[in-house]
Amino acid sequence: MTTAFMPETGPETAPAEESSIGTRGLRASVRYWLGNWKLSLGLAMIIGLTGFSIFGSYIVDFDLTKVAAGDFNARPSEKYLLGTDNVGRDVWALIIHGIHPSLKVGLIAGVLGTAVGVVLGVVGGYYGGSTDAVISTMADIFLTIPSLLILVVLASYIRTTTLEFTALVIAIFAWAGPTRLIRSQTLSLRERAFVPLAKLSGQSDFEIAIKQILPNLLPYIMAGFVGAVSGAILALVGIQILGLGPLFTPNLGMILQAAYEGAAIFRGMWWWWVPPTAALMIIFISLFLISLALDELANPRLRERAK
Amino acid sequence: MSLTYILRRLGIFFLILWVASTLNFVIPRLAPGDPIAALIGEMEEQGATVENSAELINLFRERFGLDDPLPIQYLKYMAALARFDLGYSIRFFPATVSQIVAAALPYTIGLLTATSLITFVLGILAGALLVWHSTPQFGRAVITFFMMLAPIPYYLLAIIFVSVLAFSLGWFPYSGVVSVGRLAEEGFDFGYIVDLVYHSLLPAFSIIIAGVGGWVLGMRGMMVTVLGEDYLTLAEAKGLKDRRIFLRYAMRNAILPQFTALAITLGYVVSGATIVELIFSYPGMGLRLFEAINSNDFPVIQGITFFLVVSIAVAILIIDLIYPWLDPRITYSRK
Amino acid sequence: MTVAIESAPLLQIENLRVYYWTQAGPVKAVDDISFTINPKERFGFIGESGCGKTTTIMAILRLIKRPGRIEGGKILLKGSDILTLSDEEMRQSRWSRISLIPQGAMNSLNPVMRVQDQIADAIVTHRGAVPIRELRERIGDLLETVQLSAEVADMYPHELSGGMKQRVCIAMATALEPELIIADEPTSALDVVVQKAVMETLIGVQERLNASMILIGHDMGMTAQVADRVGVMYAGKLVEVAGTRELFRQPQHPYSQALISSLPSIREKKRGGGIPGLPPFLLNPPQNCLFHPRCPHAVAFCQETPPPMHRIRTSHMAACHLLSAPEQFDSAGESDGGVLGATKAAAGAEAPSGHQTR
Repeated sequence: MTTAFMPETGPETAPAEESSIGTRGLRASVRYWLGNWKLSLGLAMIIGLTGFSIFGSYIVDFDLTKVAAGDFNARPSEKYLLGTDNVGRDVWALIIHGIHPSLKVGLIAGVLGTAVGVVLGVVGGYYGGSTDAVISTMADIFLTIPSLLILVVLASYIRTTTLEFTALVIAIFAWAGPTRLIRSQTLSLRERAFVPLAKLSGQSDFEIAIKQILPNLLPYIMAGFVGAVSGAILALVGIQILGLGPLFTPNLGMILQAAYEGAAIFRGMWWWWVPPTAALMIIFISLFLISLALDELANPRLRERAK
Repeated sequence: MSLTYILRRLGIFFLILWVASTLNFVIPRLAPGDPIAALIGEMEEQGATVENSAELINLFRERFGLDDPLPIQYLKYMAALARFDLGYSIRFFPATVSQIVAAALPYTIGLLTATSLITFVLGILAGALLVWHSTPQFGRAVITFFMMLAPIPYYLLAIIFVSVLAFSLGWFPYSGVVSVGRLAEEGFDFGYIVDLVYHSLLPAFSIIIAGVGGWVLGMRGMMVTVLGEDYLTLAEAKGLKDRRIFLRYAMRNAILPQFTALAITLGYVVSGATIVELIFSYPGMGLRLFEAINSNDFPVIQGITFFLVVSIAVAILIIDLIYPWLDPRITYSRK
Repeated sequence: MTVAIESAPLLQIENLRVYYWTQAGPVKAVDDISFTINPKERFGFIGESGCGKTTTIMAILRLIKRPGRIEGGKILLKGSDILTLSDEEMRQSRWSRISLIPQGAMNSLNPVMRVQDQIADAIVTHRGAVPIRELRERIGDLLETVQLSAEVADMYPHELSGGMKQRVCIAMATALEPELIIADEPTSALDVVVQKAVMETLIGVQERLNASMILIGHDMGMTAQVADRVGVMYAGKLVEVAGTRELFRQPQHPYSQALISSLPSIREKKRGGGIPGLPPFLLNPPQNCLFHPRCPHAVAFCQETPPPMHRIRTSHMAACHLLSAPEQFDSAGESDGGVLGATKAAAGAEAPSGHQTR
């Protein structure tokens, strides 16, 4: 005896909420993104820093990052913009040549980790069953075991020499986070109306995964990626401060480790430890802002609160 | 709580232990040649004097049964682990790894259990208040500021604290666990404890301040979800007092997922905050680990790693077992 | 069935307006509605989803959340305006004077608290501490009034079926013997057999307490059986109020007619149809009479002047120019669109022309 024209929609007290994805929400989304200070600020910071480092690398002589390139323990001056360290390396040059390699490690590990995470997450979440049980249990275990320590053990045996290799080692642990995130989202997407509909219309599982599920996962994939990049840089710097990272290519972790070894703080050599610390903080904070913004995209309720 | 639930949790517990210890077994053997001889050789190359190196090598060969085929080695290794026999330290031979761990453990546990719990309580409360309607604007601003510190690794904060608060301002000691010259044997009195706490303040601050943001974030997300639930509307309609709705209806539900994270954090406690301990020369597990890495004391590295894995696994097991008590729905769904 | 007005009304709503402030402007979710509820009366609301029924009752509880706001009007409970109460006074009034049986009973109980504690929460908050034995006994009695065994008190919500949860909600709503019980689609999530039983329980409890009740029904047939009087809402406006029997026999407003004729009827062997068109988008509503774009009788006048509430009988009012300004329709040459025609059509065998789904 239900009346035909009363759709059982949500609570009518809720004002029309723009859907995050979909035709109606598209224009609203674009407008929203242009006005989101977290996203614009985060992107501006990270792009600015990367640009500074890459363009700077063409201008500032790489040889200044070599041992005994200049005076030892020099204070900042016109000659040495940010002074020199205890073996005569120019800190300004180290920073400029050191930012982009650190970011590159994050990028490599982040891309690998996210790619594996998307494939495993979609497969596990979409097919379910024993495939899913294996994938999610493995992801849980990898999230539980202390990755930094295993990395430390690994790094102390292998004594990695190149940043690229270190990135690969870090990627071993970078897939678990994205896998779990993507899996749980796929799981909830699978339950939505459009998947059975697509199935009825004769699309194959693969087609559904690519055409229906992936586009809706986009904000989560991006969030997983940002998280993986940030986690990888964190792991890299951690390994390096313990003295286990690659020592030859200039990068932020290496500078920080050298500053620590050289007792920069207690010798008052602020120009040595402040710049790498600041650069790392900019990286971490900008990635954090971006992931906050992505969170709001994926979860409109947070958006309401954020205002 | 049903038996299958307990068995399932125990299964996951052993699975974690097995994966981690197997990694611990495999990694050293990836290096070509005899790991022990290579180790000792490397140390001697670096000019370290290893007393009784022949005896040590023999002990290790026996311990690991390095002449056995790999599967036998693996079984023996697992059997030794099951007895918590982690082998000998190379650097401090004949001290065993277990002795080294036991000496460092109290400092680390003292510092990190306290800071982890403080961080958790502060972060959870702040995260819940951040999205609660009656929180004043000023409070929100303060919480948001701390939330923005979430991505900064604690070691960067530690470096800044040491530099500003300890070095430049001289308000805090910047290394050690007690003042120079004061030894525990001279009297473990009130003054000693004050000194101990005073020395722990700076490392504690850096861990707490860097850690609060993460909890705030997690709790904020869950709170927002819970605040949209029907039972919150009904609680309000019931005319309950604001504080009761906040604590018993909103926080009580939003906090549930955070407990698992807390368990993992507490499990990590035994690894020490390696880099913070390093920066503050705090003689806990982290510093031991660092020293072991620097002196290639692999048994100690592996031992600490294994010890950590066990403690995390135990922490997760415990939280899983008390979870049904925290969230009655769990018991039901596993019945 | 119409209850004679015994005394002063229990609840008087006067010119209530609730707006949701969106970036694009205000959405008038409830726009200038007035009605009264008498003691012991069951008042039903009908109308399509999104027409402001739930917003109206949330306003009565003063639980409108941002970006929504009560913009004006009065809500008089036994003569005193609850909109002038302080937040603390309002909190004390909730449940002890006005209680709610929520729309989503499935999710309206706190999953981590036992039923007993959730009911006790309401009692202890409003009545102060009670000895535990007495409390348990009281809760056991309450559960009995909704045909639940006392053991339910010690259970968690997930251990209960949908119907049981709904009964727990009813028990909870009556724990403080309020003067007004608001039931927002109290049976919508239940299957048909349980629906009837739960509704009977609800009515039994309401009658025992001599409380008034506002009932929002997702099922008009059920509302017709249960309510003494019915209000029809459309796009935030109350378009018609009448005794139940009178409304269903002789709906006066074209929207009510359409709504009622869309009910499937066994006797007439016709299928329930929909009303053509959609309810208006409230950010940019039609001018004046909000129903005119969908109304089969609409003339230009409907767009030019807001229809006033027209009293047909003491207890029957409707807001339509057909009733208040019939000459406009005659002059427009709509010979079949007069009051008489519309009334006849609704009461007779056929739905008004143009109401069939295409």
